[in-house]
Amino acid sequence: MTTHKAPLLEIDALTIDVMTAHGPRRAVDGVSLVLHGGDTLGIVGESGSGKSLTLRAIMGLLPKGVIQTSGRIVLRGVDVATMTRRQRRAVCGKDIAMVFQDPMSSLNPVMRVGPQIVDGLTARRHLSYRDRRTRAIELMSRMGIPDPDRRFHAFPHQLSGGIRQRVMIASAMACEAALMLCDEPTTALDVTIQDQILRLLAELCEQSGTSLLYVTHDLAVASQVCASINVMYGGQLMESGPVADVFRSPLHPYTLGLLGAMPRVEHGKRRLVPIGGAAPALGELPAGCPFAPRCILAEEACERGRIDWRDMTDGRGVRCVRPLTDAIAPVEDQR
Amino acid sequence: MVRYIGRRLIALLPILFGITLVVFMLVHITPGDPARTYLGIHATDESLKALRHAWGLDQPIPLQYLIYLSGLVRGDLGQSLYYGTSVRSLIAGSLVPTLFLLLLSSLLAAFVSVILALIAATKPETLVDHTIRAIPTVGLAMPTFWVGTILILIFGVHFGILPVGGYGTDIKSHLESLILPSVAIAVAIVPVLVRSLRAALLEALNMDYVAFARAKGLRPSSVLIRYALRNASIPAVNILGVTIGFLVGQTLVIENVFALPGLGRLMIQAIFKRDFPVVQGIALVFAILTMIVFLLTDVACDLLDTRAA
Repeated sequence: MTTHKAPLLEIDALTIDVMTAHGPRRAVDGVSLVLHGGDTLGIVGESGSGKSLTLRAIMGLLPKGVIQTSGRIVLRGVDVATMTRRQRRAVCGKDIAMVFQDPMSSLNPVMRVGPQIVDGLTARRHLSYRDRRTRAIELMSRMGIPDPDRRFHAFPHQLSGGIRQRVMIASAMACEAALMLCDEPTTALDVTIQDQILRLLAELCEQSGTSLLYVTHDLAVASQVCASINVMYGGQLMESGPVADVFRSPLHPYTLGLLGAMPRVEHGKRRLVPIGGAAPALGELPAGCPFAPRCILAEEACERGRIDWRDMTDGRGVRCVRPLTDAIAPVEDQR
Repeated sequence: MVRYIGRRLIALLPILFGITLVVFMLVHITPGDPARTYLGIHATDESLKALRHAWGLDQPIPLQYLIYLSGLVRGDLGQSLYYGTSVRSLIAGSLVPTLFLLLLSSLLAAFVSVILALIAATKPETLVDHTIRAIPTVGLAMPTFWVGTILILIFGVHFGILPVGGYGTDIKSHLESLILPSVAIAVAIVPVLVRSLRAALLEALNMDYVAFARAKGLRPSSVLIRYALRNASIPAVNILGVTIGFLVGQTLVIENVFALPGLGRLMIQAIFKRDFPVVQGIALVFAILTMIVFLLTDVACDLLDTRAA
């Protein structure tokens, strides 16, 4: 029903440069994506692929020396470049919330967690201490934090990593934002806690219709919370599509490589196949496809110049000279 | 916390004992004879001898020290050789202006430093930042007594809006006469504080929790004060503590420049008159003051940094 309205978030050819001692280096190269209300979208890529910077650019939180050189970020039909700083701030936290990677360092160590959960809320309207407390405790219990009355007064260092991440999600959810950006929120947690947090996120999105833009290096995690994924490499989008389709028949050799390197129970005993070589360093990107030097299927055309994005059927798309069609997809099973 | 403070206070005792020993030795090593100072150069040998005997200065030094200590244990700091009154009453009469000066100058220094550091940290590596970092360094390079004299010349003599010295008789005139000395002291310690606070602020502003606070859409001022400043103030409070400890010594100079009737001035006079008991008594008070400041610093840091408690 929301499809005819402007999308919640639209990123168009976003390009981000990192200023280094040797001049600007491209970190994000023409990333475009569209997110409608209720969508859950994953961005998967290795470290340095530009996925976290993309998120930060949406929030207007690019670190010093990192500059958005071109492209548009449009929120509910409004280009953020046209917003004043005050308008932008009003959007942050209220319409879009962000959950950070490391719950150990993302909470103020000298402030009790209760006030930290609701301070996004109190920045917008006046609330009495009682109201703030009630709201914070309510949010904490919704996040499945046991004993929220007592935890309201706790300092971050008194809580475990999992609880801290729940606290962070609680403070991100405090204003009931329509879109939640997650920057690898489970990377710093152990696997069982990770699973709990992912279930919690999926549940929250389903209940409140919150859209999710989830950045991770872990395909399995993305498949758990996202309906569709974007695979990023060397600052460019390599492939996008619904999770199930991408998993069943990856179109890009890089995605295929990622899947081959991912342990899966249903395949029984199987040797994991690593992708040869290493991810390119900032500023060492080849002229053509960034993945070409590591791609087993690379040919001359891959190195000649920038590869164009190709829209495919069923809402899929790929940036590859020779996308893997169904005919060669079974290659994965022969390994 | 109370037990912690108690433990710290008990730990003060051996330090105080050491201080009495060192100060006693230093005072008695210092050349000069209090009897000669008191009676003048024309005094006869007999009268000098009689006075030394009356003051107990003809006893062996270790014995004198023991007598001094036994008085100290009973809370008796001895009699002033020069004024003839008890050292305790002399100190009590001069303590208030000194404490007032310490309080006022550290508040002023802390306030100015926080403001300057906040401005510098929000605009790092700009002209404003460089100016804020450079100008106070000039202050650091100027000796306090000289700054004091210049301040007297400008505000006391030229404009005549503030008293050139003294302490006045009521609260208002006390405050007026403490403004210039406090500024002179602040000029010396603001540079140190600004630099450390600015560095700590910049570090705090780069932390994830500050980015998260921004992502929540908090006002920049709120992020700066509730998130960055509070964390940055922990190292700065430590430096402030050490600086105030150093200030206690500065009062010696500044009270003389401004003719403030405080402990520092009393001490200088006592040193010139070789008034041993007064020098020893004030040194002890300064030591206690310094250690109380250090204790308060640690308590303040514990309160600020909840992880350490």
